[in-house]
Amino acid sequence: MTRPPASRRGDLTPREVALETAFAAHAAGVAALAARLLRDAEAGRDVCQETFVRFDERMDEVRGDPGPWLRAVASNLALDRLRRRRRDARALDALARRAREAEAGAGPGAGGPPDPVLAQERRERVLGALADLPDRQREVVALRVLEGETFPAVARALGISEGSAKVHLRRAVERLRGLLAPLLGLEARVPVERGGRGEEGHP
Amino acid sequence: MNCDEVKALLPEVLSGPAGGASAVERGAVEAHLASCAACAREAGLVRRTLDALRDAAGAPADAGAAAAAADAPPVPRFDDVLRAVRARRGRRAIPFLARAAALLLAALAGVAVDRAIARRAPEPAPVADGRESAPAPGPAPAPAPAPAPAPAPSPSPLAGVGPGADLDAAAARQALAARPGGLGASLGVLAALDRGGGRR
Repeated sequence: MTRPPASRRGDLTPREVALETAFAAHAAGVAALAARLLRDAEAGRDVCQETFVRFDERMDEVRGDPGPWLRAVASNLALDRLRRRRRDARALDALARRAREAEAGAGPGAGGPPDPVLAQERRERVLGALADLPDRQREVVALRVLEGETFPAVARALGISEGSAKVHLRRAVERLRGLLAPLLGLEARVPVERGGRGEEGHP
Repeated sequence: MNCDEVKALLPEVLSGPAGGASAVERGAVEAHLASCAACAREAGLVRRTLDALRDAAGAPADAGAAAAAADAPPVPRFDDVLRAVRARRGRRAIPFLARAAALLLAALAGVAVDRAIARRAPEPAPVADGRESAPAPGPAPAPAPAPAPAPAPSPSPLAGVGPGADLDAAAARQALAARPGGLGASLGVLAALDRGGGRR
């Protein structure tokens, strides 16, 4: 892929060779994930670069396949950017107003093609809710839900137990349900801050 | 498996195809959902939340975004990554060197002050029979309580712990810490640097 020529490999320290190996194996996937989250190829490339810079700093702590770790860091960086972008984008208020008007029936017909502005607004709000989760919860969601990793892989990448990864996922889903209930037309059954299990008793 | 147990497992079961709940748990959850309308509804809500996340993270809405999410997204060149890594390492090294230089200077200053003080301090009274110097012996040992001790004749860094006084460890530490230079100052600089030089 982007392997440096053999004549140049002598310039690399052993640590840099390890970095280059991880880069060759995972850069494309990391850049794709970041670009997908940010919907911006250039920003995805920047996030990919920053992800590998962070990897160089923490390489000694990453055990086994660095892929899940890299993707967790990339999704975190991308969601951070998204959050900053969202915070800065005052125009989104106008979009939200339009969305509410459309939902009230003044917009394009419900059976017609989806309104790209509304779709964008919805997307921003969903990813914004994800970005607002505590770091660990959003890392677990990014790896498990968005990247389809197994729990053992998630746990290895984040240096936590599988049980802990499952608890983080459960709390994240409960919280997201609360945050997204108005947008998705869901019932916010579970209190957002409480990590309790279903409190409605069913037979 | 009751409803609470099933609801607790829903995110694990619905969030990915494998590696979540065990096959037995998965089967038990599916069997429960087939017979419990309330939990099936709950499962639908969890699924909609997860689908919304996946859609938002992956579904392109326009051609430009589709290109960004295409199979061959732009990847930075390794040379650029390497340059950034080396630049970051360089930036990390500078504060370390600055701290090391400051420590060295502080230690040298402490030594210099110690030497200057030692040069100006009078020689301690000769020590007789191995004991620490005592107040100058009078012609006859006075059994009466001694008057207030004379002030120390030198600007010793151990002011108040002049010749003749017992030098216990606590007093020595206190005096060292109070000195304007020397080890106490060096330790102060070190502590200040440590406080200021935490994680980035």
